[in-house]
Amino acid sequence: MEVYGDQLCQCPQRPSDLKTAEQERKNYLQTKRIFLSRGLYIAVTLQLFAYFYPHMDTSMFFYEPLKYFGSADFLYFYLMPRELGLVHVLLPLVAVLPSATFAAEDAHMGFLNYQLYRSGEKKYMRLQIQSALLGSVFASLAGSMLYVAFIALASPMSGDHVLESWRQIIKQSAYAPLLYANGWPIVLDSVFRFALAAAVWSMVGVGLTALTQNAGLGLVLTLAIAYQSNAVLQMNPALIYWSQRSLVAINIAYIDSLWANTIRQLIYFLIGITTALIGLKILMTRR
Amino acid sequence: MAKQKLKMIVFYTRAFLPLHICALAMAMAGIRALASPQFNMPGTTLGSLVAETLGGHEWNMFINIDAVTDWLLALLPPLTGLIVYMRSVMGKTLMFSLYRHGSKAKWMTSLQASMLLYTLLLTVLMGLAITFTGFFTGMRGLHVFGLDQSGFYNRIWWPPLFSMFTYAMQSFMLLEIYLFFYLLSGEVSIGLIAFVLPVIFAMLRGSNDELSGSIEWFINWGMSKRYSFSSGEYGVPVKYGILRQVLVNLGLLGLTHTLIPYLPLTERKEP
Repeated sequence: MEVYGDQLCQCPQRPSDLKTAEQERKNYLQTKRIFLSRGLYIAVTLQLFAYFYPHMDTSMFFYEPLKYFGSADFLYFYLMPRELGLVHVLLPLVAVLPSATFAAEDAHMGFLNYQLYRSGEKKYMRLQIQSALLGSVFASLAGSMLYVAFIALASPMSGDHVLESWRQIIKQSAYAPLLYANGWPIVLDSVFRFALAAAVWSMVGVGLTALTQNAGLGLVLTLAIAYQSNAVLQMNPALIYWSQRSLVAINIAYIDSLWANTIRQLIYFLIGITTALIGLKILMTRR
Repeated sequence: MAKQKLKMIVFYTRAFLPLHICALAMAMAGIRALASPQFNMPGTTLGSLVAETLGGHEWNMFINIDAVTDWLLALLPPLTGLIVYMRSVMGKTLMFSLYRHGSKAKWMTSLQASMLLYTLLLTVLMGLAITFTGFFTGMRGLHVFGLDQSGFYNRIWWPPLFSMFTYAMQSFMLLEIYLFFYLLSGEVSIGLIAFVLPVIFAMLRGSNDELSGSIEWFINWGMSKRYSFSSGEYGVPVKYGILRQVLVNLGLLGLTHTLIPYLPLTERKEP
């Protein structure tokens, strides 16, 4: 009897406990959905490809990769693809592919009504935003960290191979205070800025896919808005620092202030969240 | 019989082009024209705006990433209609469509024919959107100033139409690639990557000084497009460019047509 009583005590009894357990289960299922989706792995592969792409110009990269990555220092091999690679070009894809299309998929498959019946509008919206953020940030960080880990192992941190000309440029830029510990703070700062930009585009992706109720169309529109806004902002000298390229991938000599860039990215994040909420709200009212 | 087939193709083309896709593609083309560097140049005519906006990426010895994203942006509108159409086709009704056509190959033929018509029609609509955008901001004249056949600097009329035609050809080529990978994988994301990466790759490879022949290679075969209207300029002579681009399109049509019977279209679960 006592054992039975103990078991009963461990079970959630109060309504609030039941709610928490249900919420935890939903979070677990949603996380499982993200990590089982092919989109996540495609996004990580794309991010890695984007980093490696500028190295593919040279035949040495293919025939003697270790010798190639040993020919300059770690910081150079991070900053070069950051500026000349495809990371910021493919970032909207990397952001949307893992989990930003879930709401549109639910609507298309006819699961939306069941999901809303079980969790309610607000919780469903929160879950979609959470999962889009988790998927996009994870994909961006995983791709970047895999590349950083590779160059950390393959490229020298110090010694004769350090490119002094690059270090001189950094010393005169906004990144000068972060130039210590072989450049790790600069690399990590840049990696997190890419992750934040991915979070912004995932929010835009959630909004557009929910609005169009079509994952593919939402993906294409996110890509189009990313490219068009970048082109428009780059044309105007007063707004150039607001373009995505200037925020995450411009030559570090031209960065005006790291704090200003962080604030700009956070403003974009708020715009992204608003887009996602509007898109999801329209999806709910249309059903 | 032929009349019925033609009717069917027109019906499918109409299905490709719902009103919201037309509006979306025209808006995308108009906005891109407004943001193009050509727009602010003095003396730009409507013809030169169309020719520059749809006539290929900006020409530089070294094409930078901004030029790549700009041209990619130009190529995205035709993809929207195909994505929306394919989602409606690939559902539960596909089996009935295949039954009505008789075989996968015949279904693919009618799909490709209507896709070609769709691409041409959408290009015309985009050209009109760019023309109206220019017209309402004060531009006039459907001509382009250039060297005519007798070598005099004159008004010529064919470059805007030619740009639109080559744009449609390149779009059709990329839509074929998208369609092939979409049918192969059943995923829009894979199709989209197959659409985007060749454009980026071709343009950046084409401006690589270590691969000197690559510029001609990619332009010649239609992936990176920049035709010269008169000899002696950068780019490819018109007739070879068109011939090769048509050949690439025919090759892709043949490839998709050959492989379609082996693709598991109806056996796959709907994504």
